[in-house]
Amino acid sequence: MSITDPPRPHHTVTAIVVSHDGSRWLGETLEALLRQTRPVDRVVGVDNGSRDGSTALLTGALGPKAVLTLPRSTGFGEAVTEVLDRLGPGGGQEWIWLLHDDCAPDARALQALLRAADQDPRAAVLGPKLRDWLDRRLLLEVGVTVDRTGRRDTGLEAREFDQGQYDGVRDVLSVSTAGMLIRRDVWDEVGGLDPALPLFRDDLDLCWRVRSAGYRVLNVTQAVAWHAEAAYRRRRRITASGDHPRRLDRRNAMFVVMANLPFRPLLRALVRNLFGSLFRTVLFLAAKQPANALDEFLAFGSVFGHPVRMLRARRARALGREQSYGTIRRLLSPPGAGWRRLADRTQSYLSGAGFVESAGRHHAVTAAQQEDGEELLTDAGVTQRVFSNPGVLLFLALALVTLAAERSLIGGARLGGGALVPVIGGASDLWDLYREDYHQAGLGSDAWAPPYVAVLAVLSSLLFGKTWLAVSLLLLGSVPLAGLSAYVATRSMIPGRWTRVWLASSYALLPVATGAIAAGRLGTAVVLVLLPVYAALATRVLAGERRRARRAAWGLGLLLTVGTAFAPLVYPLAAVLGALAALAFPRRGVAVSMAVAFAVPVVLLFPWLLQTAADPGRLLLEAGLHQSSLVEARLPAQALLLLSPGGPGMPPLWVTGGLITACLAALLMRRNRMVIAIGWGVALFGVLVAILVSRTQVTSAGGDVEAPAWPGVPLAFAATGMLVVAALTADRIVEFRAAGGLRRAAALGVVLVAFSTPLLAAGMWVARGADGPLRGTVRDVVPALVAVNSAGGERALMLHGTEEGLRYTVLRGRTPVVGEADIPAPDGPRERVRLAAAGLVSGRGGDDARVLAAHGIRFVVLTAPVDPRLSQALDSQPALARMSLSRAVGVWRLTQQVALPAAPPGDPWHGRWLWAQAVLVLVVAALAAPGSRTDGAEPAPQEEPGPVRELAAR
Amino acid sequence: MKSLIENRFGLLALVLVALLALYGVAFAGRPDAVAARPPGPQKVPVAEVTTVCPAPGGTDVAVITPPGGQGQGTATLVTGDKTLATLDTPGRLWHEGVPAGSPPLVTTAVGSMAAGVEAAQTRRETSGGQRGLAGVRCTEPVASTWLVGPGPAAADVTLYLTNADLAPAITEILVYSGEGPVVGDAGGVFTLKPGESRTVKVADLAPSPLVMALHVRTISGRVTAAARAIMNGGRGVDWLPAAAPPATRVVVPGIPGGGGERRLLVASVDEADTLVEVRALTPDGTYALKGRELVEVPAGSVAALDLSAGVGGRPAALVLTSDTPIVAGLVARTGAKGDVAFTAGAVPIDLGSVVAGNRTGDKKGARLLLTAPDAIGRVSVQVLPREGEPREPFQVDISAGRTKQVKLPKVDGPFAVVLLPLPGSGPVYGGRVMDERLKGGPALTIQPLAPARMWALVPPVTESAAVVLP
Repeated sequence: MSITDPPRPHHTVTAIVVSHDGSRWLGETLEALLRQTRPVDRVVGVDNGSRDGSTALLTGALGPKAVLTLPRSTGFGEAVTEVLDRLGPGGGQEWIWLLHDDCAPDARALQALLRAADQDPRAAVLGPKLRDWLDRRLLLEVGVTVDRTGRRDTGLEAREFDQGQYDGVRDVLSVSTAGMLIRRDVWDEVGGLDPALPLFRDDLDLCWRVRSAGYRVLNVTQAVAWHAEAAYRRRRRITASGDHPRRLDRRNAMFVVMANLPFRPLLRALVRNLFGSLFRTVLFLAAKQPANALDEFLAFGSVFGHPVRMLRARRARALGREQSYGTIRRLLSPPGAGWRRLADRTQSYLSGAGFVESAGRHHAVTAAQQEDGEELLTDAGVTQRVFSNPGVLLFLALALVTLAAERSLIGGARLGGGALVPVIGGASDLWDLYREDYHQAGLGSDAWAPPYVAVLAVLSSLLFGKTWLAVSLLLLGSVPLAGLSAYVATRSMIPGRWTRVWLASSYALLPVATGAIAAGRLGTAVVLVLLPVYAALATRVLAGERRRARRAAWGLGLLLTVGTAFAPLVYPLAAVLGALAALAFPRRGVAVSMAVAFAVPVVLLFPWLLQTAADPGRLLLEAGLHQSSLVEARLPAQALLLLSPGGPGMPPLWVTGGLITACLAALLMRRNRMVIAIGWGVALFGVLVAILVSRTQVTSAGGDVEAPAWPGVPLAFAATGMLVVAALTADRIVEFRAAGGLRRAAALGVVLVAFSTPLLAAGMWVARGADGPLRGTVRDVVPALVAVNSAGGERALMLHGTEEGLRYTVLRGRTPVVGEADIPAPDGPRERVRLAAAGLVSGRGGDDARVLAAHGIRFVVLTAPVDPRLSQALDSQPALARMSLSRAVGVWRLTQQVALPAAPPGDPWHGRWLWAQAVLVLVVAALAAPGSRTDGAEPAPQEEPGPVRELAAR
Repeated sequence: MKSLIENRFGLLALVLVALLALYGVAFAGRPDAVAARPPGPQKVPVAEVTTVCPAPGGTDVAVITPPGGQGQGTATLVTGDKTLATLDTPGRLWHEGVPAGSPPLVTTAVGSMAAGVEAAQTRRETSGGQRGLAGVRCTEPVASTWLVGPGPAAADVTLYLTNADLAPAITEILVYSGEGPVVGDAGGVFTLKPGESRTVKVADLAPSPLVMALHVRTISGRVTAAARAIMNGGRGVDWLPAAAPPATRVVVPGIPGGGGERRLLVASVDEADTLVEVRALTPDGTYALKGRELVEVPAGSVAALDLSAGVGGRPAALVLTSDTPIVAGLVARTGAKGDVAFTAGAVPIDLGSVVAGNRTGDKKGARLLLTAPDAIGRVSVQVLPREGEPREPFQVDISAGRTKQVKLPKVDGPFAVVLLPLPGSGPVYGGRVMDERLKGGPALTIQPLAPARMWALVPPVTESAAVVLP
């Protein structure tokens, strides 16, 4: 305050304290007000019908004359207007200082505000920096802005501490009415707070109008006030409006923005609001927050449903709106903020925090993040945090091992072989296959497409429509994915990160996993990734808090559906274990939860499951082809006990010896006896089922192969049981180590033996490579000549001579997409074509060609390696004309006319069921989705809601 | 239960016992090592057969379907626009002269008449440039035919091509000579429209070879190909029989006994030179030819080997083995100015064989030369005369590694012979030799036995989506 300053106008300050059931805070507020270093000139208290003694507090502090009592239903703006009506003008430049009953200003607040007002004669509204009432370091507001859809934006992170990072006097769009200092003449000029906005956004509207009138709105951070945000946080009942505060907030926000925007931006904002509201409604529905969705929807409807009110409000704000918009536009949230917010919300949703809005939230509402403890103890930058996490390291290590082992598979032109048909086509082909009610491929079939096609289609759609990417991810990436899922899923079960690393790596590198990859068993690969999740969810169903248990049950049902679609054997295995668990741990609601979990797959997969269960043997098979070369018909007994399912891609039997030894050693531990017994029970059950499965001859869907089923899935169950047993007792190792001496040596030995399994398995896998029957580059079996000439839907008879005889299949212009080969052709046409193919090859003459022609077969293709006897036999067929013959492929064409059989009319119920299925999946997903954690953690109303009616300051 | 679980060793013992029990179950349930025998091919009667006699004009044509066919069936004999006959009785021999100048005779047999239908044409000239016996089996349209014999420098060789199918056939003719493959200016590619037949002078394609192997193959469609060789200087005439396709082991059956030149022709069609080991199978046993056990055949060319001394006038068959695929034929002559006849590599008569046109009696003789190179062969032989009842079949046993000569009985008029291998028989190869003493030297013709088209072997066929996999 030097002598060179311009002469200051003389200020008078009238403070208005509005209270409503705020005695908890009011005392402190009044005390703070009266302790100002720059004392206020006049103070008026307004009480809106408090019932908690606020009036007494006010009169006690200010004297009975300075207190006005209004009815409970009065809004904040009305109350202030009422006071100003009764209060004559003060002298000089008069300021009004608005205070809520829950807003205590710092002692130097008024002084700082006035000093800032002196600096800038155009400043008409000034606001202090707001901090949290309870945690006094937390920043609440340093000015508020809004985006064009009405989203509040404070520019602060959730729970940000005030360290002076925003300090300074800054132009802002608006400041809160809590602690707002406003020039009385400007107040009168713009008309004060709009009574149509009794609560929420009235401050924004006022400041916007002040700005439109050509004044400035400043936030002065030297002035500090502590604000309890009692109304917003529902610390007290809102009585100014019957609506829910969230809906009110949303409606007012939209209303204010629309009323204040000039015409052109308004049109854009209209469109954005329309789509934005719809989008948010859907998001809230998906996030299982129907109340939020309803609020969003109703708020939108309420704004757009009253065009007259809107027009009137716009007319009132017409003056100066266009001219000052240039300044205001700079203060609005930038357009990119919406996307950033969406990203933030997705991120927080993924991390389990629910749809928390980071920006614009009244901050203290955000519940304190539950510390994940071990995961985030050290905070030294994202990179270090991520890379020092054992889970991430495990994933990376497994990914590296996988890359090294699958060197010959990755990056090939076309993945296929073993049980996996060469992967062609895109997501749309899979969707078509799943949707069509009559499959034209092959000889035509009206069977239900396997539901795993839909799962793959969804995944492919997410991966830019690339089916090969989806299959590669699931099949080739199954080892790191299984490791990650095992590591994460056991978080709540197993203490000790390195124990979990051991568990997850052992699990991911089981012989089942390498075998599934080598043989192209997509089904087992998917189940392997899901199995730890099943275990975690089942644990939560059995032991979790009731709502979480039910939620977990829905989730378990949904994931079981996915697993069952890929490998049906998962369902009975899980069902038996689940039923036993429900019997063993009777708790209220567990039986229902289990029933939910096991009814969901049946309902969702209904027609297909019925069709599959008609041939019970097929329940033992999985997605892809059943081939005798992929199973070991005489699997030795010791292999089954050592978790080795046989077939290609098996490490030596003794690799898993360390694991079994560790699990047997766990039996000697004194703790967790019950869990150990249960784990071993699961393991023995899995092995028993594996034995039965591997001794059961199963005929494939096409009827061409009869071979034992592959016991991969039950062995994975058994391994899960064993691993949990061993991991649970691992903490004893630490104690043994600490004990020293012989015990220490024993502990070291056990650790070495246990870790030998994943290390040996990884080493063997990398050394041998994952190249089994599965190949990275598989030629397309359909010659281009055929593909080009069968545009009209002509079929091709593919013949392949083997030592056991001749195999054939019928294709329609292209290789079957994943899942298509699993749909069996109807018996009649299959048998007729079989006889015709046999006749054709034998060269007996006759009308075999006519039979083929009647089934729409125009081409006969001999696949590599071309057997010269077969090619001669086909050459000597008068009904066939050769188109091409080489060592790799031979193509013949039927010389007669080919009748393309028309597709029979589809079953109308097919499409209807698919719609129903989609809806059911969405419903189950919504029921299973983790609700936002804030729901439960939000502070419950602390006061008994009185039989209320009225208003409060906020 | 609880105490058992709480007991440290009790649970361990329980688990170990359970594991042992599981081991026992798994061990007991382990299936026996039964090598699943793949189902063998199935025999079904053929349903339709077409054969083409290349130049029936002025010859005797014999057509027969062996007895035993079930149900209805016909065999239609058509030459040009004229239908010569329609046969419907299996087991009855049709044997007639065909007017001179007739175009190729197409026999189409369906139903019961198709099973084993066999046709042959035989021409007998007592004088002139074509003096001698010239017979050939009427073959089916195929995509590939091998013919081995003298080249245009030694004989007037004419190739008869017929397309009896409904689709056009593009035919390519490759000539291998003693000096290697012949690349002619003419190109050797012909397109035959459906039903079209044409003759090709081999001299136009390759004028110089003394010996040759012809490969008639189609780029699309099928043709029948037969070649007639008229030896220069009136030294006989005969048709070249179709030789077995290239293989590393070739059996040339039906080498008649008696005097005269026996010249083996071996063509290597591979791109590498090869050494061919030659063994002779005679009624007395098997032996390697003295000093000639190995023949060197340059790549893509034909080698000739004189065996006149080697087999020593005994009926014989030759077994040729080589590292690379070869094709073989044999030229047999009777005396200096007698007749010529050709035989060639053949395939075993696994399903039986039929020889349609035979004559015996007076100065005519016919005999079968049967060879069992690997194991004992047992064959039943039945004679079906044109007139009269079918004769009783008789059994012929052939010792392993030997050739057996079976004289066919005297029959009035022409007759057909049906050979059927008996159970337990090894592979049998054979040839039918027919000769006649004519003025100026005996006439001779040989027909290697071809497997009858009685049965088709239907392989076990299954539908399997695994076909799309590599």
